[in-house]
Amino acid sequence: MKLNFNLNGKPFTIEADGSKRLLDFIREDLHLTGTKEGCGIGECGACTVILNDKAILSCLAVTGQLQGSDLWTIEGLNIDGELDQIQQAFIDNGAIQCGFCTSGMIMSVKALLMSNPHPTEQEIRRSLAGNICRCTGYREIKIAVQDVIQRRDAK
Amino acid sequence: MKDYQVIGKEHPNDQAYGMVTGKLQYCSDYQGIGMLHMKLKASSITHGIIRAIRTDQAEKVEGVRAIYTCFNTPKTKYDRGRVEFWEKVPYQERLFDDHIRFRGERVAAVVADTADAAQRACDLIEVEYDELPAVISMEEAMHIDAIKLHDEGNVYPATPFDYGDYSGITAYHTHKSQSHIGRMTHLCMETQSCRAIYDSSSQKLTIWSGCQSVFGVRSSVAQFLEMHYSKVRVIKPPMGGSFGVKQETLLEPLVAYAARSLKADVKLVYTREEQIVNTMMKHSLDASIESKVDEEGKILGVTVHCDLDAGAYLTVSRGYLATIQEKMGKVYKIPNVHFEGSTICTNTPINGSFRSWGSSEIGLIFENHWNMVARELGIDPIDFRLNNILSPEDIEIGHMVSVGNVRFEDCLRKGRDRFDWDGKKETCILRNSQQHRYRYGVGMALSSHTSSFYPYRVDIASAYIRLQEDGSLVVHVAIHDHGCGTILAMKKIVSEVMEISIDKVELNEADTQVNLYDYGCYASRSVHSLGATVKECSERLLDQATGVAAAVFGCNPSFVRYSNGEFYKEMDPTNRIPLSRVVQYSIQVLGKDLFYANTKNVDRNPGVAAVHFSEVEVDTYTGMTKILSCLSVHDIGKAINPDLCRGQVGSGIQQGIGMALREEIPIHPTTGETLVTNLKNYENINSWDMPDYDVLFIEEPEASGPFSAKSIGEVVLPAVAPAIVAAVNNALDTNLTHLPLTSAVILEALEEYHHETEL
Repeated sequence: MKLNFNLNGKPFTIEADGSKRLLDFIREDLHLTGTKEGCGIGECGACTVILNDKAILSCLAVTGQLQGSDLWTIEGLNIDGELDQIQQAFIDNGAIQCGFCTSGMIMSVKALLMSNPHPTEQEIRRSLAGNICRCTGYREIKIAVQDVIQRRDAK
Repeated sequence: MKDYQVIGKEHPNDQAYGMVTGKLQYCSDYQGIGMLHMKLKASSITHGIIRAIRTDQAEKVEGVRAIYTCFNTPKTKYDRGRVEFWEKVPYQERLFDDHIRFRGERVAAVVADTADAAQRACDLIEVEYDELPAVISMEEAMHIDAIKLHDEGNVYPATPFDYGDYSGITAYHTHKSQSHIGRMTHLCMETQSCRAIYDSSSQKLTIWSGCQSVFGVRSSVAQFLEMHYSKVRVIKPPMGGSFGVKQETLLEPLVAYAARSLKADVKLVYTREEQIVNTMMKHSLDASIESKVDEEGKILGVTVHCDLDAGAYLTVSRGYLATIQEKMGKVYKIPNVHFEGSTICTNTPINGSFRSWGSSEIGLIFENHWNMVARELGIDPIDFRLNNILSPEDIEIGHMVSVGNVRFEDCLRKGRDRFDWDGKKETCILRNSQQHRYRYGVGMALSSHTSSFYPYRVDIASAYIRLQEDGSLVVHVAIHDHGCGTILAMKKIVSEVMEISIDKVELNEADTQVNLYDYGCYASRSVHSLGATVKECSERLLDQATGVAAAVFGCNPSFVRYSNGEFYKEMDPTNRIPLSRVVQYSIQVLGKDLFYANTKNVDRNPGVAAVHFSEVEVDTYTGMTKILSCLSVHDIGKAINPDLCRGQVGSGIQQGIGMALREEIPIHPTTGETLVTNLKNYENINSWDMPDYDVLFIEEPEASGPFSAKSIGEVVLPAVAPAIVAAVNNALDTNLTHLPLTSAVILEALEEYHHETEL
């Protein structure tokens, strides 16, 4: 099928198999490998992308859902070379070890802050509960999110 | 401790930019024109012989290039745990065996143009089996009439270990206990992946694998394929975590075999189910311990019996059991020790390497036990430890070498204050007296781990560094970063010695073609051993550069000083020459390149001490345990990357809570089926469950480590679970040691307790 959608802020048209798993389409057809596969059944969050302003698990979605939609992947957050505040905060707060969960984690945070600019600590914890990280113990990730909010409010 | 420019300072992890932007390529991300994809078919039986495999339907799937089974691949045996050809290892595995020993074992592989085609073809392969009776439990496998999994049998007894004479001592107090640990999965976020390309023009094979030993993988693959080592190149790309699961050679022989047979580019990425069932799990074990202790709580002797379930193939398990025994002498002064046990093969998925080899196991066996003994004697568990721990530079009985400047006492005393142990103990008693539903308790446990191989094997650590023409540096050392910052640590060490900024230091990860030999990233040795050689190498390079600078100045080298990338004579600090000028002079005038290559034999293995404290609330209605607060105290020497070290501690706590309370892969007791094969059913600690935790580092000098650094990667785990077990037992007044302490286990224990009290 011919797909028309916005990819990372720009109109995009492609001939695609609408029944293909969205995660595979993103990685294999769009060659955007920042979106990772950790479990394949929607439990680990490594494949999180933002579709129509909501964080979704791309391993549980199909490509046909993209028609007329607005898709953001991790590669779209630093268009023009400047890092998104969340990306910078993850770097600055030691929220990254192996990095394999990082892109999904950042996309979950992005969606959270889009819908709720001032989440409480409990809300941060809850919204990241679907993103598994085995390397950090989550503390630095939570601190990074709080840092984004503080920095933004300070501006 | 001395303050440094970059050592001990916070700095983003190496490649952090690539990680937050999604640009960093892990092995599973590799794409290439003409790349072929491999998928595996798993056995549907638990034990039996393959009679026939029908592949005709599978071959018809468009895009299929090859199908491999036990009938068309070499019968050569290899060993996943082997690093070098001179090691004595079991050699029980083949690419495909006609004798299937566990449910889920691979029976065929399909290589196709797309992963989808390979999967569809796998589904069409039909396998006929002659089933055999299976032995699932260790008890069944040990039975005299049990069917044998291997010609060598099912049971591999450990060489008994004796120090002193346990049976000869009499004591005030004799105590017995038992511990059981269930299977776990490592849960690294990136599943196993491997890519291999065979280039027929050069007849060279290149393998990318997120592994822990490029030289180990090369040795196994080259021998298996009967190729010269020089024709096989293994490169370690960025790795999405390991926790031990990437330290054995699992996918590489098969993917390399396919790449060479097809003269092609072949990639295999495990699904999560394959990651759980077809790598290895943390060993399940049953241990019993008896100790003799005097009236003051001084340990007089201990005897341990430990049976370790290896799963279907022996692989590294005999060595793992030996490591449990060796770790018995790393924490406590015990004058009389006896250890015995067996490694047992069963028709279940393979168990093997897991973070903190031996330390986790002996940690649980010992710490559960000492907490019970202390309670029975009415001694505070911290005081009990203070009475029995090793002092710095004591000799450990496993290898009869010094434990280095290990700081158990500091960890215990400082941790006791920081956690407010005595205050929290009182508070728990008070809260328990005020209501009945929730029970509160505190617990603590102690552990240790290694910083090098010494003297278990020669800890050879090599590096070479070349000064580039502009004064920047390229470091060659076989680092296998798991994501925890070992690349950054090496860069910081060079940067500190050479007094140049970190961004001028470049370092690629392990690559057999460009690195000097290295055994691999095991025993938490990277920062301690490779860091020490990198430091020495940098210092010698600087000495050489100083000699060249002296030639530039026309003076004796003793007059030359160095600061922030520039040389000068002490008598004339205004006339300075940069490193780039020194390189230019060296090449143009002296005709010498400026590099230094270093091989160091590390001759110390300083222990790292860890104490974990935990405060829990157990809901007696639901059996749920909640961690209210916890503290990990670590004596790791100098924390080179303190921010990343704190993250590592968090990871150990996350994994340790899982081990204590939730994580388990049960195996069906009669069918041998793995009952948890995905992350939906594998209970682990997420950001919602994760408690706030406190971290305290004890940083004391250690002569052998670079800038006094020891190790952190593995020691973060072993004290956590036994501390939580102790806290639960403290809360409930129980002696539970059968992990994990799930709600069901706790409710059952409470019911039993009520039943007993009613009687």
